[in-house]
Amino acid sequence: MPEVIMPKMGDAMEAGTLGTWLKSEGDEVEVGDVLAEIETDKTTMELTAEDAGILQEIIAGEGDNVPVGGAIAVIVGEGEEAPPRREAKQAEDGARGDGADETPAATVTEAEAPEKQEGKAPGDEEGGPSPAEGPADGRVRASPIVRRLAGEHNIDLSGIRGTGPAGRIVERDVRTALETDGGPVEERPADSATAGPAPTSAPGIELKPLSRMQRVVGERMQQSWQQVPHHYATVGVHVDDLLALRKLLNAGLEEDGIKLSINDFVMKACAVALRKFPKLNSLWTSEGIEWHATVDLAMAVALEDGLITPVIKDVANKTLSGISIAAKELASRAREGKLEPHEFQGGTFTVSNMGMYGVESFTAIVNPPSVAIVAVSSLIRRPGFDAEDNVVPQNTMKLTIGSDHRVVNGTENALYLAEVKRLLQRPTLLTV
Amino acid sequence: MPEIKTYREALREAIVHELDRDESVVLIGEDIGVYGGTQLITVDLLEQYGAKRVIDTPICEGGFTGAAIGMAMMGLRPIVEMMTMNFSFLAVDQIIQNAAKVRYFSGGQVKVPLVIRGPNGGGVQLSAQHTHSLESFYGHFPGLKVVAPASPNDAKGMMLTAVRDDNCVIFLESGALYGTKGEVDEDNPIPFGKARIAREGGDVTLISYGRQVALCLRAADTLAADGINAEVIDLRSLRPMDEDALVKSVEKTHRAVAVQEQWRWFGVASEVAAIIQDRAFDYLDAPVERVSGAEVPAPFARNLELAAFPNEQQVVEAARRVLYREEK
Repeated sequence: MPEVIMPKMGDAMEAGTLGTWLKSEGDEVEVGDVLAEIETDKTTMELTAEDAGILQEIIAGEGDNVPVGGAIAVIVGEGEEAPPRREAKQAEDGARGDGADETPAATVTEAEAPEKQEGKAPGDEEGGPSPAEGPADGRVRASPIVRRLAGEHNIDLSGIRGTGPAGRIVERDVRTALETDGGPVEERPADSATAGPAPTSAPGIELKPLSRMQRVVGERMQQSWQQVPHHYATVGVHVDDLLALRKLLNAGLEEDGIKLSINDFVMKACAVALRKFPKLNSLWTSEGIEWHATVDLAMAVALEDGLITPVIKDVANKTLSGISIAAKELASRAREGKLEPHEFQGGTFTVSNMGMYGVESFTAIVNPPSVAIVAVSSLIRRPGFDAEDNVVPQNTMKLTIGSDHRVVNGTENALYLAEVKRLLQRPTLLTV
Repeated sequence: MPEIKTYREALREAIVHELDRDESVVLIGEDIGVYGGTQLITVDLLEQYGAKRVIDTPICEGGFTGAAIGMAMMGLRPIVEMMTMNFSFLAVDQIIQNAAKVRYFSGGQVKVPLVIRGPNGGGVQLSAQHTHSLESFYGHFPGLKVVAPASPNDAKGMMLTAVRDDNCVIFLESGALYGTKGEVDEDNPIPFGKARIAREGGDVTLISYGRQVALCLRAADTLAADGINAEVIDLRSLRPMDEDALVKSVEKTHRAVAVQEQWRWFGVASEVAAIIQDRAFDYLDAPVERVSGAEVPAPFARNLELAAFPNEQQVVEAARRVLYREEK
């Protein structure tokens, strides 16, 4: 009897919120049918059926927060007997009268998942190891090799779903986790971002609970600001040549529907400059600084209630038009909340652009585990001096780099930024 | 140059080799001379070596085993044939009380260089009283060495080692394997306490000895068709047992299945499982599985006998269980 469980859709995902049910109890479902929408930290994903049959029971209601691996619904295949309904089983449990594990019948909470497991008849296990929704007694069950691997790789086993009998975490579960996470599971202090004084309850206030995204962005920013010693440097870039080149290129690209933005040039310049300063294209890890040969550039995109950083792969080796297409496509799907987790994870360097808001200059917070972020401000048209010291109108744009000072020294910050500036002031270099 | 020989020929060759090499080697047992041995291991040896070295005895296992122990204590190196190992029950008092202990009692002054050999186990429809696997019984007693070769080459090489050993060796032949063939080396004593990797693999370790090794190899082929790469260990020597080989393999595969023809309780497989959990606990991904014979006296009927002994499907299923794969 296949149970539909909350899938793990991303590295840091511990729970998901059930958005909208697209199927109802009693509906017939085929493999691949979309059952419901799941809201994770940063995106909305479709939950598809892995088994065909009748959607016998919906366990998680809309808006319910369900831990990864927790039961969401039950699909009954052809010829399978329907399980006793939840309410009926609870009545049974109550009638048993041992009282020790009584659960209030009205609440459908995550605490029930283990209880349900316990209530299984022994025969239920016969079809081989069934993915269990969690350990029966709250203990993490794991095989010895799993405990060993967890120790070696600093993995928190409580975040891994066991596929062995009674939810035992077996070697393949850890291997899968290691492959998808590419490293140790990040430890996050529980609810640290929500720590604050109690609501004032003053008249006229409106209390808005944190969305998943606000919570995650908040935790990550707090973690970065508290743990990463930041170092900043700012340069002003003369962009008249860049604007001229952009105009020229866009005139030629128009029929292809491509329009290069200033940010496309900035991202390209940042990535190309990293060839000379590869240390800035690295990740701070538990084992040391992980240098990356490829620049997978995270691009900050503002959303209504938060922020997401879709990643453009290998930006140094992409053409300006390639970057432009990728950036537009990712940003538009980001705003629709349709990014896949792999599309907003794994960045090695970040660019954040507030040029459209008339910002003269700003600093950004490093996006861990990457070690540097470039903040791009608005074009400012001001009088300046040309080569002959004549006063001429000049377009200037400020770039501010924020770096993890544990990895990047001030000099390296300055030299890197000078290289970015050189490339942007001789923008034809970015077209070759 | 290795030649292809049967398990039976390989055993006979080893015995002949030792009779030629060392005059103190003598054979003793029922029907081994004039008749040539019920298993035809000693054919023509009476003619070749004479009645002083190939001694036919009455049907009295306790008597001739005791005599052989006395010979060994006095410096000969007897090879005792049990027509089947089941008959050794009649000689157990001599074997346990004397052969296994005299060296200890005498503070090492009196050695008992004795080989007790004969067919062990089942598979040839000899029914309940003539079908026993006695390895865990003899393996229990300090002072005895117990070996169970599965291939003709091991049969020969381990017999050479057994005859040259200064202790009592219980040499368990697989009655069902006498006719099987394999390459046999010229003069290559195989040391006790060294397992043989019968097949290399990385996903699961199948551990066995005697005629179950062939079963494990067949199961490994079936598993391979499913993408599961099984390692097969032939223990060969049960006491001493090659613990390091078990540990090394499980450190690689993280999963083990021990297969024995004998009954499950107090068996070799239990010992294997205990060694693995003791020395390779941190490498295990699943409890060690045991595949054993059914808990009944061996049946005579062919279909029931087959059902009472481990089969390939049971080994495959056990391997799938330790890999947490669903049964097919």
